[in-house]
Amino acid sequence: MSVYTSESKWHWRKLLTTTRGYFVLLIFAVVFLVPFYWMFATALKGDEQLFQLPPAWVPNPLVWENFAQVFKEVPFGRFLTNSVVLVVWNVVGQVVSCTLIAYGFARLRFPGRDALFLVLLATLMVPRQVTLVPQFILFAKLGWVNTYLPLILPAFTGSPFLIFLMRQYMMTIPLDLDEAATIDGAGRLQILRHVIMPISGPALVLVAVFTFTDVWNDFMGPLIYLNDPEKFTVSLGLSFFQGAKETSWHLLMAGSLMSMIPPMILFFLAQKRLLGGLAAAGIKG
Amino acid sequence: MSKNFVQAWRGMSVAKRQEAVAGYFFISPWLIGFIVFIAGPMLASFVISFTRWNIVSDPKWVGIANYERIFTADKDFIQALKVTFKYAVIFLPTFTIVGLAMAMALNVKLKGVGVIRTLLYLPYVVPGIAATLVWVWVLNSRFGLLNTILSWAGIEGPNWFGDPKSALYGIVMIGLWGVGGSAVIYLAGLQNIPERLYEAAVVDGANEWQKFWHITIPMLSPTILYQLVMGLIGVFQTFTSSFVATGGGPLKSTFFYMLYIYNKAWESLRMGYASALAWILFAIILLITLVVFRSSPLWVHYEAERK
Amino acid sequence: MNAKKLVGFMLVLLAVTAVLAACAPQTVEVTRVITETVTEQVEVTRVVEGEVITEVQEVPVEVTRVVEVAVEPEPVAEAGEDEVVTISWWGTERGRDTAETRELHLQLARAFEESHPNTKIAVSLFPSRGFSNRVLTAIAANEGPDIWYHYFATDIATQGFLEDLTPYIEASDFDPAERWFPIGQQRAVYDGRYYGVPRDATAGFIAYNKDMFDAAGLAYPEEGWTIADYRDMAIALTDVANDQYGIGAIVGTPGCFQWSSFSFNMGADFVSLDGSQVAGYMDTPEAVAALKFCMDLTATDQVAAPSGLQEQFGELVFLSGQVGLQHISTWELPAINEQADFNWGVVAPPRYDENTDEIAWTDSYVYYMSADTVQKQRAWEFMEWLSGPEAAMIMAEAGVWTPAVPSVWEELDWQNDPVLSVAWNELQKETRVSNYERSQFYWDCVGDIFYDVWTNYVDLGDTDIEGFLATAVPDAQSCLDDNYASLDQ
Repeated sequence: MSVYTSESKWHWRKLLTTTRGYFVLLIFAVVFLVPFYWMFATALKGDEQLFQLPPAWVPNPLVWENFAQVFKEVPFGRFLTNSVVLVVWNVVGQVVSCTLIAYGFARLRFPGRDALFLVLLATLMVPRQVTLVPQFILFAKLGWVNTYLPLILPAFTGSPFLIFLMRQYMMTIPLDLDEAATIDGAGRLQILRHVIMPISGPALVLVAVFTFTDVWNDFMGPLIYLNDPEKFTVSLGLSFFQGAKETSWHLLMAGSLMSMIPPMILFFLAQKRLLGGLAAAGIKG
Repeated sequence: MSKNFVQAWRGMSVAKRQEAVAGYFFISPWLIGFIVFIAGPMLASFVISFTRWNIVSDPKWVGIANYERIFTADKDFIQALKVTFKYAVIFLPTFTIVGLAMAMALNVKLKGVGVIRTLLYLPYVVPGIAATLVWVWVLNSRFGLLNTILSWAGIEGPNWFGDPKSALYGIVMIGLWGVGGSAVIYLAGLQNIPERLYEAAVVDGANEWQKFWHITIPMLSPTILYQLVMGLIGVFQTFTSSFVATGGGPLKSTFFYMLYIYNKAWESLRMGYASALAWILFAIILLITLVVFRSSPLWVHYEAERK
Repeated sequence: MNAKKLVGFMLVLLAVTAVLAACAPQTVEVTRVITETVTEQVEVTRVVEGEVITEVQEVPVEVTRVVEVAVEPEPVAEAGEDEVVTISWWGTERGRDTAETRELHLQLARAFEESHPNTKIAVSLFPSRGFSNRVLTAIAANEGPDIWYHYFATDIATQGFLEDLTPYIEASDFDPAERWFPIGQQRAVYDGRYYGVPRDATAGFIAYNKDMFDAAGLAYPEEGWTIADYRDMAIALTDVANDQYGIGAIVGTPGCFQWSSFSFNMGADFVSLDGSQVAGYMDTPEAVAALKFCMDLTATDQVAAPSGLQEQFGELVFLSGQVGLQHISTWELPAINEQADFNWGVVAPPRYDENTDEIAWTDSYVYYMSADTVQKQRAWEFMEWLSGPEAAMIMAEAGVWTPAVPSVWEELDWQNDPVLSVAWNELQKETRVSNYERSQFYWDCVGDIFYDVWTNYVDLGDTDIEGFLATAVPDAQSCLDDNYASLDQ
């Protein structure tokens, strides 16, 4: 009898937590998704509906052709391929380099480490607007203008943002794990590969996801370094719809929505790895 | 420094020397990148800040003239600093709290939470220009979504980007929309907190609030430090939203520091002056970051810290 | 998600986008070295008597193949006449009709190459956002284009990166005054020297919604009308309850102040013609009266559409069909031609009163040559051709912008077109370079004043315009002075 009561009480509590959980999520979802409605509505408007006053909440008719029109106005597919190529290289570069560098900063002691880390952070603080020109001159001297090299190679030297992120994450991993492995005779690269990386899953996924998103949406880099429209990326291509005086609102929004699909899918798939952290933490315990 | 370095090196055991060599090896990709791609351009921009340079012809040395004018005769500099600081004070705490709250709401094992996570992350992947344009519409005083919704509740919404009192809050909202990117980092941090800590706390009779305050926050503090520093840097470099939505107005109420740098560099082709402005900003951010770091031993808890 | 899945995802993505890329239009080549001619069906859009006519024509089209051009060491001297030289030409997309705009640029390049086989043109089109950053950064690193177009203020010439074209023009056998509309010369000349040649000719005028005039029982506006007539009509057309507005809002891009002829016609110039002075211009009684007239249309008469809409859609708010009178320019004509689902007409802007003549607002993009260009003679040949009648005809037929060459307008009989004739007349009238194109420091120092005056007066109800200008104008002047002084340092 008493067992039964506590069990039903437990059910009650669980139901309550679940409801509360969904309720909070629902509020967040509504607040954050409402602006998307406008993106969709605009993307589906015909030319003549764009300038209605007051604006129509539901476009009528729904002009799905706008999505196809994006491909007709600009070589959008070409731009997508270019973006993907760029993004893949950047993700590879950042994941490899950030892991190594963050491990060095988080786990190893060497003279000047903290000073160097401060320098690393400091490089983030100089606004890009002013280093842009000297950087461009440098890459131009190397003969890399109108190639992807200025947009890819720096990824292999690690982004300070992501190095910092990885370092902070690694600092939360107990040291006794390394020490146990050292006693077992593992070298540092082995420790990194077999001890640190398996439980750094969430951080690695974050590095990949953020790199993907940032490179995918980067406008200034491709704008400055690429001459040849054959090499343009999605974010550059989308800007074609925004002129000095006129904007093709429907195409801009339709294109933007389509451009969001790859990073969205990536995140959806990647977050399982984020959740995986729970299991990893269990192992630690 | 180098003398200290030599002394430190001599005083080290073989094992420690090996560790140090390994340390340099691991960070070498960054060191190389820093020396080749970053240090040069940064140094160049520092030198440029003492010149008059229109980007396209040869720079001319003007000594400290740029800095002198900025500190003695530049009203826009003061205004840009004021706006940027005001924004930082409003935005940073809000961003941290909302991000953390969202992460905690998402850190549940419920059916469909994966989809909701993706949806909440979505605003972060909206191309910057489109995001701003969407918000210009959402905040349109007459036909915008927000004021329409407010009017259902009988509230007359403000003339968001048209009113110097509310325009900055509009920019805050654009920034907050992308909070999903930050929530994901918190989420990763939350996932990394061992379940056993909570279980032990429950055994000790802790309530939700105590669990949050004594376990979640300390265990998350390295992540919070990260977010705070990144947030600071981001806040001082806010640009696209004000550039596209308001152009700095009305009445310079959204005249961000980066907007001012942009104007001087690209509208007036005064790269020297803009570089001086940038280096002053650099000094300010560096100072604040140092303060945050100095204070961090007081509140940041590392599982593994090697001094 | 493990590494394998991640790689899998990337591969799938690559495959999908590669398929999409294969479906893309074929007009993106830039480094074009080999051309062959085939016949293709092409849709040709023309503006005839205010209507857009689209027809399918069999046209020989050069299909081009991309061939990487090897980077050769830059020749020290200019190439001889029979050496093949590549000239780089950069332009911007306009935001709409993107495919047509790109096609026009390629068409122009092909046409020139046909008559000048030893000169190859490498076209690059960029988004207009960030275009000047792109050009200037590239020039700084010696990677800049030989020729490009933009809307720099005329005094940008003082920065030294533009080639002085005066000697080339003097050596040519055309007379600039004959070849181009007056604004074409005004936009290209600084301090008596040519630093560019005009790309197009844009005129500002007023579009009116005939249906709304009919419904209100009003006579259509006619050339020679005054700003008092303008105001009266706007008041008569307004019916706020039914979302009918006399005029589009007047702050923002196409405002009453900086983007139209209103200020000129009310005797106000906000900046001196050389761009260096605000004091003594923006704070004159005429300027204050002009500002007040414009703002009162919103603040007192309340005949303007909500400003938020104008900020979003610019002149195209006219397309809503709920705006009676709207400042537009030749830029907006294609959109209005295509999309207006009501009857409309255009008329010259109103003059100040019966005793004064109207001063026109006209404008032009300008082609510039980089001072770093090596093959200057070849580049000039292309520039001369681009700003001449042959290229102008191609532009006119493409319908993307209205060309700078009046003889082509006459050839197409545009001076008798019900819509374009208004533009034609404006382009012949007395005109001035717009305030914002007089000083390169305008947007750093002066531009905000209009918006600030507006916010104070209309939104915050502070009617003391003089009081505001008493501090704003000296501040702007000191900003200008400092910037100009930096040029002489």
